[in-house]
Amino acid sequence: MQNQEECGGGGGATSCEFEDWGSFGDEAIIQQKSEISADESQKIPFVADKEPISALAAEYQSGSPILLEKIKILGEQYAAIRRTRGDGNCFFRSFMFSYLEHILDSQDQAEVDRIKAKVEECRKTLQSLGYTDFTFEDFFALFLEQLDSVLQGNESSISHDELIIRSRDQSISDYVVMFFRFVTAGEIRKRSEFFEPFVMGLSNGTVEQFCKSAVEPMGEESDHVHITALSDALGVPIRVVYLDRSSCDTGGVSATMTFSTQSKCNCWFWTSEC
Amino acid sequence: MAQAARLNLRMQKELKLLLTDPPPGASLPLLSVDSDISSLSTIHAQIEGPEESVYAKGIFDIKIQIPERYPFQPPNVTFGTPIYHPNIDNGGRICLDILNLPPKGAWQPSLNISTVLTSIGLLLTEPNPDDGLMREASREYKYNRQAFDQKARSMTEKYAKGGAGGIGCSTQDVQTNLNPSMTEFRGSEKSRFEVSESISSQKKPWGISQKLSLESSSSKQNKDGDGEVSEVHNDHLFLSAHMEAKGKRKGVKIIPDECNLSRDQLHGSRRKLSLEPSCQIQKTDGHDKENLVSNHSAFCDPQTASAASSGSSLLPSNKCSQQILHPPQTSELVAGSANMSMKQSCQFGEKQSLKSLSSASHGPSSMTLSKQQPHKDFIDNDRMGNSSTVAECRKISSVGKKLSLGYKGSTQVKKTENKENMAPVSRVDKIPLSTPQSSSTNRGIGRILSLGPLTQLQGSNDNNSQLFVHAENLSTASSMTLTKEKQSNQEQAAKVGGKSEVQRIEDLPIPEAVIVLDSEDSEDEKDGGLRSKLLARKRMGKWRAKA
Repeated sequence: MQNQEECGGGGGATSCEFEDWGSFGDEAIIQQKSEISADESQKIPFVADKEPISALAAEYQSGSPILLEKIKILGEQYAAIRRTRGDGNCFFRSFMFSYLEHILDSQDQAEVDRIKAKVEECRKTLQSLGYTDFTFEDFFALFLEQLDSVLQGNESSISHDELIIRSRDQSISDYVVMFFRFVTAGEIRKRSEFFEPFVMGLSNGTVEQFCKSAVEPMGEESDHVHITALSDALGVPIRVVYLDRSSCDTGGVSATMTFSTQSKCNCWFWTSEC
Repeated sequence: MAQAARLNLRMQKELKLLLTDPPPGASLPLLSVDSDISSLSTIHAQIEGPEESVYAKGIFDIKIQIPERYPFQPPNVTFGTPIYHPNIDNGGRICLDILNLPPKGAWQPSLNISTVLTSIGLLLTEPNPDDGLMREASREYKYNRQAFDQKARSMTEKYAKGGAGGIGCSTQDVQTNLNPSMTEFRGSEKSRFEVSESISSQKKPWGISQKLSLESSSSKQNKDGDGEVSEVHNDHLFLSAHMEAKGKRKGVKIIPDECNLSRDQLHGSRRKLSLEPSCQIQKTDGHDKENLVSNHSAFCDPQTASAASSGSSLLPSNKCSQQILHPPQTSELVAGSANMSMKQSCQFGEKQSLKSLSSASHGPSSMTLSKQQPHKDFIDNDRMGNSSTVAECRKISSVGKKLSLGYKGSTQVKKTENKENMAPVSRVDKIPLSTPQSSSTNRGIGRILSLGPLTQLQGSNDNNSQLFVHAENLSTASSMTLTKEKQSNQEQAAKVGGKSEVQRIEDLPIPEAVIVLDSEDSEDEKDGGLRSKLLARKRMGKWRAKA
C-alpha cells in the first residue's frame, strides 16, 4: 500500500480565521468573510509552490519558541512545504495534489487500479444512499480523468507542471475536491454507527445532517471525522502534522496524526515525536 | 471551456431528469427533450400550488438561472408569479436555505434543480415565518392566520390561476348545478365541446364551459325576474370564486355544493343582492376598487374561501351572499379588503381590476351555464367580463357559433342604473367591463359588443383574435405582473396549441375593457336557442356586431 504523506500545516494555519463565522448569521460578517476569502485567494493559490521549511521558520521568527522548535523538527523530516489556500477546502485540496503527485512520481499502476476499484465502491455507496447519479458522476469522472492523466504513456498524460496548473484551476480543482467530499460523505453515512459518536462531538445533529452541513458543502473545514472517512473510503493513509504550541512533558514538540487503513479497526493515534 | 462543457453535460442530465421524472407539482412547460440546452442559462419552470395549501390550484412561474459555476454555486431561483408568502418577496426572491451558499445557506453541489423545486414546493406548503423575508406576511402568518390565508388565496387567484384552468373549473361547476337545463343544450353543443377539448389540454373544463354557455342562453330567457337575476349573480360569484380557488379537479365536486348553498341563501335575498351590485357598479372608480376589495373579503369569510382567490370581480356577488349570511361582517370585510388592497400595493390596484375582469368573465360563463338564474350583474360582468369573455370567446370560437351582440352605450348607462342589473336580459348581453380603470373610460365611450354563436365565432376567428390581441395589449399596459402572467399564459397557450387565449383572458385586465357576454342577445335568449357567450368590446365608442 502506498504511504501518503502530506504537510498541510500552512493551509491549516491560515484557515483558522474562517471558523464558525457563519454561526453569527450576520450579513456583514458573511460579506466580510467573502472579502477575506477574496483577499486570501489573491495571496495564495489553491496549491502554492514549494517552500523550504526555513521559510516557515522565518515566518515565526518572533513567535512562540515552541513553534520554532517544532519547525526545526519538521525540517529534519521534510524538505519543503506547499501552502494551500485556506478556503475551507485545504485538506481535500492538499490530499488531491499530494496523491496525484505521488502517482505521478511513482507511476504505480497497481495503486491506480486499486483506488479505481475503491472509487467504484464509493459510487455504489452513494447510489445505495439515494444520491442522484448525475449529482456526483461528473465529479467522479473528473477525478478518474486526472488519475489517468498522471500516469505517463498515454495521450492525456501530463507533466508535473501541468498537474500544478490543474490543481490551481478552479474548474478542475474544485471538482476533485467535491469528489472527495462525496466520497467522504458516503463513507460517513455508510458507516454511520461508527462515526456517530465522533459526529456528536462536532455537531448536534445526526450523521446525515452532519454530512449535509459540514461535509458536502464546499468550503466546510475538515476535521478528524472527514480525514478518517476519506482515508478509509479510498484506503489511503494520511498523516497530519500539527504545528501548534502544545508541548508534552517529555519535551516532544511535533505532533503527528496518522490516519491509516492498514488495520481493520480504523483507529487513529497520536504520535509524539520525542 | 472545460467547465462550461461540464456544466452543459450536467444540465442535460438535470433537464432530462426534470422532464422524465419531475418533482411533484412541477413542470417545465417550455422545454422538451430536444431543447438546445447549451443555450439555456435560464430555465422556466412552473410549480403547482400544493393541495391543502392556500396556493392550491395556482400555477406559479419559476425562473431558474444557472450560474456559471453551478453546481458549486446554487441556482438563482425567483418567482415570476406574484405570491403572498412569508419567505417570498415582491420581487419573487425566495428565502430558502438551500438557495444560498454556506454559511448563510445550505446549498451543496449534491443538490440539483429537482431537489430545489421540491424544496420550493415544501416551502409553499409550510412557510417559515420565523425566517421571514416579508415582515407583514410573516406576522400575519403567525398571528393572524385567517388574514394571511385570505390574502394568499386572493393573490393566488389573481395571478396564479390560468385562465383556462379557472374557467374550466367554474364552468364545470356550473354544469353540475345546471345539469337539468344543460341537458337540453348538450346535444347540439357536444360537437363544439369536442373541438374545444381537443384544442386545450384541459379538455374537460373547456367542454364544460361550452356547455355552460349553452345553458346561459336559457338563463337569459329567465332574465325577466329581478330576483332570478340576483340569484344568478350569487351563483356565478360563488361558482367562479370556487372555481378559481380550487383546482380543476376539486372545483367540480366542491363547487356544486357551495353553489347550491349560495343559491338557497341568495334566494332569500335575491333582490337585495342584485341591487347592491348595481349600486357598487354605479360607484366611481374608487368605489369600484372598494367593491373589489370587499369582494376579496367576502370570499374569505364565506366558506367560499376558495372563492376568495377568485378575485374582486366576483366580489359583488360575494358581498351579496356574505351580506345575507353575515350582515355585520360584510362591512368589516369590506374595510379589511380595502386595507388588503392598499397593503398589497399598487400592483393590486391594477391587478384587481384585471382580476375583476377575469373573475367577471368567469362569472358570465357561470351565469350562462346556470341558465336557470339569468341574473347577470353588469358589475360582475364588467369586472369579470374580460376573462370570462375571453373564455367565452374561446369557447365560442371552438364551438363555431358566434353571436354578435352590439352593446349599446346605454348598457353602461344601464349599469350605472341598478335597473340594468335587475333586468337579466340586458345584463347578459351587456357585460360592461368595469375594471376600475376601464369602467370609467367605458362609461363615457360607447361599447361594442360582438356576440356571436359559437359557430359564428369560429367562422370569424378574426374577431376573436382581435379581442385577444386587445386583451393582451391591455394587460401589457396594465402592469409588469400582468405582462408576466400573460407571458406565462401565452406559454401555456402555446403548448395547448394556440388556444392559450383562455389563459390570456384571465390576464387581460384590459384597460379598454373587453367585455364578453355569456348570454346571447336578449332575443336569442328568449328564443331559447343555445348561445354561448357574447364578446363585447368597447372601443372608442364603436360598436361591432358579428355574426
